Formats: sequence, C-alpha cells, structure tokens
Amino acid sequence: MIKTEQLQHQVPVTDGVLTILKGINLSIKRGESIAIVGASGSGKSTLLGMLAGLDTPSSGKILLDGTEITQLDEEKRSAVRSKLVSFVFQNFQLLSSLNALENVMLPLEVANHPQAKQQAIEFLGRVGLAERHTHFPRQLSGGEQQRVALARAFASQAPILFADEPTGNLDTVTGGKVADLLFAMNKEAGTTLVLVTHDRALAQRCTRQYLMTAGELAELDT
Amino acid sequence: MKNLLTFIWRDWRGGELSILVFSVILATATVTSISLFTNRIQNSIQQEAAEFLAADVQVRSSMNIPDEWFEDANELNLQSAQIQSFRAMAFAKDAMQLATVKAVSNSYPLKGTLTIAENPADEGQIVSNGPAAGEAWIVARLMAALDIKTGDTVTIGDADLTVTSVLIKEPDSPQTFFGVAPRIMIHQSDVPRTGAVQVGSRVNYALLLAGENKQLDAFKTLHQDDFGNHFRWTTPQQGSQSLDQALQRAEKFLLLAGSLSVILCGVAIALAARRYATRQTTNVALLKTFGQSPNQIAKRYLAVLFVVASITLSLGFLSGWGLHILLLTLLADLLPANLAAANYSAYGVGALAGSVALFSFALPPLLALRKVPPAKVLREDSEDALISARLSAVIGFFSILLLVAIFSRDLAITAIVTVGCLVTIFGVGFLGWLTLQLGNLVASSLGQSWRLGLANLQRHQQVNALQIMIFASLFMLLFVLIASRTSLIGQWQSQLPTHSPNVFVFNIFNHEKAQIEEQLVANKIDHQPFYPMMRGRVIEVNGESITPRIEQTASHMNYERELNLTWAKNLGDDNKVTDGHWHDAESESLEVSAEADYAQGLGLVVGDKLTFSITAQEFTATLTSIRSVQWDSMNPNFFMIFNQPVLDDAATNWLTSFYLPPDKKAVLNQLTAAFPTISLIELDQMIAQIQGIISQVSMAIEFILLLVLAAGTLVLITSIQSTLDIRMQESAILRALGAPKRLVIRTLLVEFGCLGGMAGLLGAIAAEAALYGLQTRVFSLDYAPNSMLILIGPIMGALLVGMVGWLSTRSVVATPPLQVLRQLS
Ligand SMILES: Nc1ncnc2c1ncn2[C@@H]1O[C@H](COP(=O)(O)OP(=O)(O)O)[C@@H](O)[C@H]1O
Ligand SMILES: [Mg+2]
Repeated sequence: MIKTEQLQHQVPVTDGVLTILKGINLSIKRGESIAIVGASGSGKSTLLGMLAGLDTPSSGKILLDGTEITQLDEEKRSAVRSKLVSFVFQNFQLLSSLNALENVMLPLEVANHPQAKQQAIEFLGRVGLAERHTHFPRQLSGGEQQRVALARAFASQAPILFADEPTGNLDTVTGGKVADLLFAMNKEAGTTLVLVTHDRALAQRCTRQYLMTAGELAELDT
Repeated sequence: MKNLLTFIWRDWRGGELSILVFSVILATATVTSISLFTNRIQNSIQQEAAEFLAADVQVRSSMNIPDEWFEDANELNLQSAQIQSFRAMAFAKDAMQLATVKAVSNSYPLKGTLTIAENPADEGQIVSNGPAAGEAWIVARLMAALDIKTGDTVTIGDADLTVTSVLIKEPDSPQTFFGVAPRIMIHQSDVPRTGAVQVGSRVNYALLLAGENKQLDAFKTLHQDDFGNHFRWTTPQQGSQSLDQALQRAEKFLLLAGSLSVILCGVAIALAARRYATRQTTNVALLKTFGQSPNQIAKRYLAVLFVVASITLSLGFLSGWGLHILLLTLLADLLPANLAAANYSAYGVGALAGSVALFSFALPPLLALRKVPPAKVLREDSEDALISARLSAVIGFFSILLLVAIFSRDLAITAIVTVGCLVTIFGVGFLGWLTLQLGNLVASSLGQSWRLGLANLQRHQQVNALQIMIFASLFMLLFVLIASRTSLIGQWQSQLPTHSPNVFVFNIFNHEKAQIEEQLVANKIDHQPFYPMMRGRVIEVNGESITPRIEQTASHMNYERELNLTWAKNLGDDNKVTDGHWHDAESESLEVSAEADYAQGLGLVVGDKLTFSITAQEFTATLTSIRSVQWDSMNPNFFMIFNQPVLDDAATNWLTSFYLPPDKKAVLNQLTAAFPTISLIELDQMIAQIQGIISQVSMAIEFILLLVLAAGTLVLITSIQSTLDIRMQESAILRALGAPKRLVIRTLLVEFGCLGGMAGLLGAIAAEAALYGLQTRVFSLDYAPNSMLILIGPIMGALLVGMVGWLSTRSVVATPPLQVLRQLS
C-alpha cells in the first residue's frame, strides 16, 4: 500500500542545508498499522507529510497504492489525496467557524460525496457525539474535538489514515479513550494506519513499530 | 454552486468576512454618497451660476444677432431668448434721468426667475417672464428718482410705456462691476418705438441659449468663425470673475475630499482583504489535505470574491444613495429647494472605486492561497502572509492612484496626492530606521514598559513599517483636508467681510468728485478712495496689431472689448506683482501694469510696448509689470494700471465704492437726484448670492470631512485589528510568564503610541508638502506653512493610535492568557 525508496529530504537553513530525512526505505501492506516513535524534532511529522503527499522529498520515491506520487504535480497529487488518505492531527485542526457536523462534512463536500450529511451524522454517532452536532469546536473539550476529528477522518472512508500524535494534546485518560476509539474504528474499516507518537504504549498496539532517530528509520522488534 | 454559497455563508457566520464586507460596503457607500452629493451640489452651483446668465450660455455682441442663429438654435433643440441693452433718457411728469434699458424677448429668462412687486417696499413675487409689450418694469431707485409709482407712464425716447411693476431682482444681475446696469426692463417689441436705437448708437446684444451641453457645443461649432470676432461665447464660468474663483475652489475641494475618501476606503479594503487571506491559510492547508487541488482553491476564493463583490457593491451603492438622501434631508434648510440631479457617472463612481479596490487588493492574496503548502497542517508556525508587504504596498499604491484619477479626473490633484504618498512611504523607511536606532541607544536607561514596547516595535519591523505608512498616509490626508478646509473657509470669510462695499459709483465727472465725497461724509458713509477710470482697448503690441495674437490665443477672454483702465501710484492689497516690478515713482515715461490672465492670453511679456486706444486717442506705454488680481475681493480692480495720468483731469471719470447700511438706502436717491449722470451698482444681491453659495459649500465640506474621518477611523481600526493576533499572542505569553496586567497595558500603549507619534510626524511632513502643492496649484491661494502641524501631528497621532490600539486590545488583557493562547493555536 505504501512504499518508499531512498527517501531523502533537505531544507535550506541560514547556515547551509538541514537533512531531515536520510534515505528512508519503508514498505507497508494493506490493512497494516504501523507506529513511528522518536524524539521530538527527529523528523516524524516530516516523514508523515511525505508519505501522505503533502510535501515532496528532495529525492527518492514514494508509492501510494502503486502510484509514484513524487513526480506528480500538485493538481494530480490532490486527486490522489482525495481518494486515498485521511488525517488526524495532534492539534485536531477543526475549523473554528464550523460546527461539529460541518467539520465532519467538509472533506466529504470537497470530494462531492452525494450523501455527505447522512454520512457525517452516522460517523458522529459512532464517536458518541450524536447530540453535539451543532456545537462549535470552542464548545467542545479536547477529547471531544479529537473525536470529531476521528469521525471526520473515517467518514471519508479513505484506505489510509495518517495520525500525527493524535493523543499528544490530551491527558492520559482521555488520550486512552481516543486511542481505543481510533483502533476500534480502524479495525472495523480495515484502514491502513500510519501513527506517529512518542507514547510507547500506544505504539505497541500497532502491528509494527519504527524508531526515528535524527532522520533515520529503524524497525523495532516486537 | 450550492457548496460555494454554503462555504461563503459559513465564513460569514464565523466572522472571517465581516471586516472585509463592512469595509467594502462602507467604502462604496462613502464614495457613492460623497460623489452623488458633491455632484449635485456642483451641478446646482453651475445651475445657479447659469442663473447669473439667465441661460446656460450667452452670446454677446455689439452687433445684432442674425435671425438664422435663432433658427439654428431651434433646430438644435436649444431654447433661446434675446436681450438688447442701451442707454436712453427716461422722462416722467417732472423729472428725467439717463437710464439703461434692457429689452427682453418673450422667453427671457431661460434660467432663473424675476422678482417684481407692486410697491418698492413690498416683498415681491416671483415670475418667470419679463414684461409684456407696452409695459415697463423699473428698479425702485429709478422710480424714486423719477418720482413715479406703478400705474404711471414713463417715456423712453419716443415711446410711452406703462410702469406695471417694480423690478426687484433679475437673474442676470450685472456681470462685472462696470458692466451696464439695467434700470428699466421692457419688451423687445417696444424697442423700435423708442427710437433710441439708431445706426451708430451703442447697443449690447445677447443671445441666450439653454439646453444640453452637446447641443450647445454643436451650436458653438456651427458659428465657430464668428466667436472671438464680433460675438463672444460666455458661459457661467466666465460670466462672473468674482464668483468663478470661489466656486472653482469649492469644486476642487469637494473633488479633493472625495479623492481622499476614496484612498482611505481603498486602504481599509486592502487591509481587510489581506487579513482575510492570511487567516485563510490554515483552512486552505487543511482543505488541501482533504484533496482539494490548487485550482479548486483558486476557484473557490474567486467565487467568494465575486459573491462578496456583488453583495457588498450593491449594498454599498444602496446605502450610499440612502446616505446622500439623508444628508440632503438633514441639510434641507440650507440647500436650494430643487437641487440639480446628479450625472449618471456620479452614480457609478462608488461601485467602480469599491470594485477596483476590492479586486486589486483582495485578488492577489487570495490567488496566492493556491500556493499554501499542505504540509503546514503538521507544523505549528504562525500564519505568514503569502504576498510580501512590499509587493502589496506597490500594488496598493498604483491601484490607489488609479482610483484617485478615476474619481477626480484632475491631474493636479492626482499628482499632488501621489507626491504626498511618496513622501510618506520614503519617510517611513528613514524615520523607522532612525527611531529604532535611537530606541536602541536610549532603551537601557528607560523603564521596563518602555523597553518592552520598543522591543516589540523592533520585532514587528515589517508589519510596523506598513502600519506606520498607513497611519501616516491617513494623518496626511486628514491634515490636508482639515487645513485646506480651514484656509478655504477663512479665505471666503475674509474676502466677504460683513461690511464689504455693496455700492459702486462710477462715471463720476471730475467736477462732481468733491461734491459726492462731501455728501457721503455728511451721511457718515466711509468710502473707498476715488479711482480714476477710463475705458480703452489695446490695439497694438510692439507696433503690430493684436489681431494675429487674438487668433492664436486659447483664452476665452475678449481682447477687443474695452477694458477698465486706471492709473495709480500704489498697488492694492489684492494685487500681486508676479513678473517685472511695480511702477517706479520717479519714472517719467508712460508705464503700465497688466493683469496676469490677460497678459498670458495675449502672450505679453514685461518690456513690450503696448498701444492703447482711449477716447479716440492713442497712447503707447511700456509694460513694466504683470499682476495677479484677486477678483473675488469685491474691490474695484483693473486690467491695466498706468503709472501716471493718461487723460487730463477734465476728461477723467472717477469711481468709488462704499458700504451702505440698509437704513441709508435713501442716500442713493439723493445722489442720483443730484448727479443724474453717475452710474450706480448695488451689489447686495450678488453678495447675498455668493454668501449663500459659500455657506452651502462650507456645509458640504464639513459633512464630507466627517465622512472621511469616519472612513479614517475604520482604517485605523482595521489596521490595528490586522496585527492583533500577533500582539495578543505576545501579550498572553508575557502574562503567562507572570508579567502584571499593568505592564502589558503599558507596553501596548508605548508601542501604539510610538507608532502613532511617528505616523503623525510623517503625516504632518507629507501634508505640508501636499498642502504646498494644493494651495499654489489647485486652489491658487497663497501658501503659508502650518508650523503648528509638525507639533500637533505627532501628539495627535500618538493619542489617537494609542487610544484606538488600547481599546482594540483591551480584551487581550481582560481574558485569561491560557484562553488567548488556545484560541490562537
Ligand atoms: N520546512 C522546514 N524548514 C526548516 N526546518 C524544518 C522544516 N520542516 C521541518 N524542519 C525541521 O526538521 C526537524 C524535524 O521536524 P519534524 O518532522 O516536525 O519533527 P517531529 O515531528 O519528529 O517532532 C525539526 O528540527 C524541524 O525544525
Ligand atoms: Mg511532529
């Protein structure tokens, strides 16, 4: 489902160039869930962005469901994203001007989903927020906001889900509940999951784990 | 489409669009209302000026107007009328008096109305036509002099006419102080009966025309060859030199104020658009992760722009129209009852300005949203603008110039405003740099809040530079407006002091001078000096006929007509030598000083030898100086002033003027009875009319100043709002770090106060530059530096920006820091 070859990424900084990713080779099969752990600043988010086609690497290849995405232009890459991927972010990334239901509907509307509203209602129900449709993000707790984000991610029924520190902004108990929900929904939908976290316990719930150290990726034994 | 509307509705609901929407509506409404209001006032002023001519155009001549001309006018759908005026003796039972007769055709007047009364003391009634055949309308003073009343018979030349009314007011009152003063109005069909008009007698003819400008132009083209020769094309603008200058200035001011409001609104829109675009970056990045492509993003925001444009422009237009109606209602007492309609273009200017501003300011940043990197969702950096401040300043600068040019259609105003803005922009660079250097030097010796405030200023250098530029331009515009308003109104008030001369007496023979003076003194009337006065024309320049020069000139002036000439040792206050030098007291040769417009039109230069024809004698004088004359001073003024008497005393006529209080009107009757050959002009009507117009225009100016101030405040608020996020975050961090509230407030105050102070100083400097240009080029007034401005500018700036800044950021300090930080992340 996801495959990279010699993925390298460098960015220009004031004194020369900074190499964030140093030749990453990775292969993830359909339905697998993998975790990437590592210290802050080690390049986890950068890698995640590359895999999801949000950014292009300096060199190397990325295949998403058989499509080489590094060579695509931004228009085509958008189409790939629309078909294949969904996201959950550390800071939820809900639009503050939209209520819960509208936030969930947003990607469906972008993809011109014929039954955006029903689909969104259904998924809000699944994350246990059926009563909170009309609430705006500022009226929801952190855990609730992340559940809305989960509903939004799964409602689009994309085959791959990228989650960047989904529990990073939540306390342990709430984080645990959100994680439970994430794994349960993932299992049900059969989604390929790429999870970035520095929570070892969370990582262990994935089928495989990788450790990111200063731009280099190594698989951990489980 | 439905999706788009939903999207826009949600943006609106979330408050993202509101500042943009409001600023476009306000901009469009302000410009629309100002443009409608000023246009209608302008048109009314012109209409009123047209009433001074009783027509849109008068074709004047000393020759009879050919009959075909009336037919031509008819074919062109123009209304026409005729006036003949001449001097004749008027006889009553026991008295006789030399009078000026004005014979009018049926359709006179084409513009304006006449006021007549039964008895001299009556208030009078308004009528729209002149006397019928066999009737005579006579001004009160002449009736008194002839000792007749309505119903009596007056004999003009050989014709007996019945006096049916007292003539109180005629629309075309004397055009120049020395023009012919009508005293008796009769119907033109009675002219032959009088026998007063013979071959060789001096008659002035005027063809009155009214209608569409296009038709008038067509008429003018048709008889092109005759104008400038024996026929003179006179429009309201040329009709009265005194009124002309005052009105021109008023019109220019309205244009200037309108242009400034256009600029302010443009800036408000620019800021709001930029802020909207900047705040959309996170949303766009998120939408991109959902698979929305750059093109879809561009389309989406284009659609937003179009929907916003169509809604705001139409709402703005409607509210602008409403505002101008409201304005007219509020000012109903001061404005003429039937205000002229606005031109079609005046309706469109607001929407045009609004859309140019909206598209030129909002389109670039919104289109740039295409390029937002989607990976931004994974990073926690702040929302940086996608278009550099410098680029948007450049785009903004040119769009604003375009706006001003569209609005004012006046090169001088556009150029001056441009220079003002340039001074501001370059000033910002320099002043900003200087202040920051100074700040560095003194920072260590200052208190904590000063240090923090100055540090903030340095940190936000780019944002601040833009903001100072905006504030400074804002202050410049306000200063310019307030200063020009003050000087214009002051100018008008000073030129029309309440006791300015309202009576001119001329054609005084040398031997009458002493007696008249005696009588005035006996009645306790202060009079101006007696000026010698003669009529004459220039016939040769440097020994060559002036005819070729006249054919070349682009000026409207009639160079063949007789000019008012005088001689004087000293120069009046309202005259200024612009070239050459004033008469040398010692010089024995004949020297002359010419009025500037006249000299320019004929291409005269100092040193030329001018040959004059005065009462059939020729005199040659050296042109030693050229003078500008302030015609609207209501003082006697002359085209040519010699350095010594040209005619001997016995042949000289004299002129004087004085203020006559209303209760001493009888003095005029004594004068005319004792000196039947003198001519008198009462200026009351004209002065009242000028004062009326001036008070209207001043009202309009004051109101527009208010609107512009409102637009300015909007800019101030929008601009501060646009940097609020950064400041909120910083203050929250400061407070989270344990800084006391007081320190945060003071820091903000220092920052905003410094910004405002710098902007005020710059604004004052730029305003000074712009005012210099405006006073000398646009308003033709003397320029006097407003030294106080340099002082007041920074103080006002600091106070104003400090206050608005503090008010807008007050909430920052009131909310718990955590909440602020969370809202912003
Ligand atoms: N566009 C960029 N420009 C400069 N530095 C960057 C950029 N993107 C990431 N970095 C740097 O690369 C490193 C890895 O970042 P990131 O992938 O966000 O780490 P992680 O998610 O593991 O905390 C960090 O030091 C970050 O500052
Ligand atoms: Mg990260």
